[in-house]
Amino acid sequence: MERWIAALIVMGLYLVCCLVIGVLAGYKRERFSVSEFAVAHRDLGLFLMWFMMGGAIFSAFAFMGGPGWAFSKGAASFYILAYCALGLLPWYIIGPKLSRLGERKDLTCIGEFSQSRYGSPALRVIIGITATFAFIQYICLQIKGSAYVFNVLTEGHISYKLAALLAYGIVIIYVATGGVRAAAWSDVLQSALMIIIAWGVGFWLAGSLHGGVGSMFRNIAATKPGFLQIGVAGSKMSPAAYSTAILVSVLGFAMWPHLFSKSFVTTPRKIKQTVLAYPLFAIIVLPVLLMGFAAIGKVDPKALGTPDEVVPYLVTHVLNVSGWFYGLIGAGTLAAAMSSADAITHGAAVEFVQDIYKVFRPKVTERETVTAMRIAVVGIGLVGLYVAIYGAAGLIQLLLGAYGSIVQFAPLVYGGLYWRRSSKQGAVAGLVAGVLVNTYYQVIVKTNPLDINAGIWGLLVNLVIFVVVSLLVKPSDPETAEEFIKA
Amino acid sequence: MKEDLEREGKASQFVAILGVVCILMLTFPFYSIANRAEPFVMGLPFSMFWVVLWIAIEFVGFIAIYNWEYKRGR
Repeated sequence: MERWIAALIVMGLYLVCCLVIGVLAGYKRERFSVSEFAVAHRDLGLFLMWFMMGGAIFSAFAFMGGPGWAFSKGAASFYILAYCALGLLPWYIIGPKLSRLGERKDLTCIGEFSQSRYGSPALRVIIGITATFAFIQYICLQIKGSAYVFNVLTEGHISYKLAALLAYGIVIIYVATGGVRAAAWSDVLQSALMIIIAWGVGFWLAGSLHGGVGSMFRNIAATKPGFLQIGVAGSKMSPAAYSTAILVSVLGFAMWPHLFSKSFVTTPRKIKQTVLAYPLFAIIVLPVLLMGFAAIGKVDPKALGTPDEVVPYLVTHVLNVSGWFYGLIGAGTLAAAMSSADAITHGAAVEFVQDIYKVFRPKVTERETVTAMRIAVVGIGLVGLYVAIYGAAGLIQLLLGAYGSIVQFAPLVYGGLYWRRSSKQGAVAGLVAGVLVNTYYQVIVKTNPLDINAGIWGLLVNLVIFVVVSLLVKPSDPETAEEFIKA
Repeated sequence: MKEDLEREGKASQFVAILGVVCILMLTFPFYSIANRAEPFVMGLPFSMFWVVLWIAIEFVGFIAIYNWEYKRGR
């Protein structure tokens, strides 16, 4: 059998399984309940939570970018391990509070949380818009990753456009029908698949190309001095850049609205169990990096368009393997991309309807809200597909700016939960300033002062303005403040 | 209920301390301790093993804190 046909069979089989599991998950559930569609009636168990959070975070970036970083930047890629392990930690602290507040005040997303704490529709809309742009960028990255891999591993027989449509179209279908529950169940298959493939392939590559993990790293250390260190001659990242990249990821992780809103899908105790089990997921990333390290010395960096292409290139050009193996690598990458894409598409649709649509149409019925969310899934999905396939000249900087700005929600969220004097004026001014500073350094000048991550500079400005303005104005409603702090 | 919340608050403080320690150990200046390829541990360069080690410590720390918070069938 020709390689590309075998590859197509494996990837096709995987896609069909995703579709069936996703659609079945939503079958015979309440079809027009916001609570079901957005937060699965707040009753997801630990098993689903763990796979869902793991799948959501472990995206195409981890499966393609991870090896890409390992291959091109060496030790800098350890930052991925560090942020995966630590990123969810703050959720142990704020998640249970949010969960109780969510149940009491019927919250489903970060914008609603902010309005309920600060009483400012403007703040809610700013958050909604920032989040929606950031989501489109994030979705785009997933579509591009999966379409690229699909295309390359079927040796070009499935075009890039068709590949994008196939992989992401299925996500749109099951998210639109089954909501968060469908995303969660499909994540079980997707996460399990990528774990198995990452471990199998990562160690196999290190073994077959270099005679084992140990000798592989010894070779790299001998041939590329400094490559396995940070901030010395021969290394690819400075200590400041490395440290602040970890810091900003840890602070920003739980602020991603699709993760933040998962505070509302389960109970406080299950949130803690999810966070507790989470570092195991970081250990799972490890063999993914091995794939990238294994390519060192075997793949000429100049042969690649970007380092992210290293694993597909290795598979198709260096190894002489069967099409079934192509298919497995493809399915693993698709799983990584789709398990993030579903959570984000769902999060974006809920965010868009709750924080933008509803502000302009406050008196909608529950039925209309759910219908709007389903339409938003499809709409946002199509925008994501369009941008991924045709690019977004002019818009791309806006998308990138929003993508990097999610961490700027942190002061108003933590302030809202822990500081009585937090005010809506402070929250709005700080957020806007933080987003502007971050976008300026990240997207416009593209260099960071002192090599410190743009997000950290944004946060510093954001925090100072948030605190100073809040101290100057009249405090917000003390009863609400008390309720949030005591929750 | 109130007692549970107090216990949760205490647990949150422990988690925050655990988080700060882990972040400190994985970023500079403290990461300098481990910022070298040798010795190789379990086949991994020391700079990578160190990260894995602290992930393991974080995991154990979480279990300890969680068990403390929910002990005796709470």
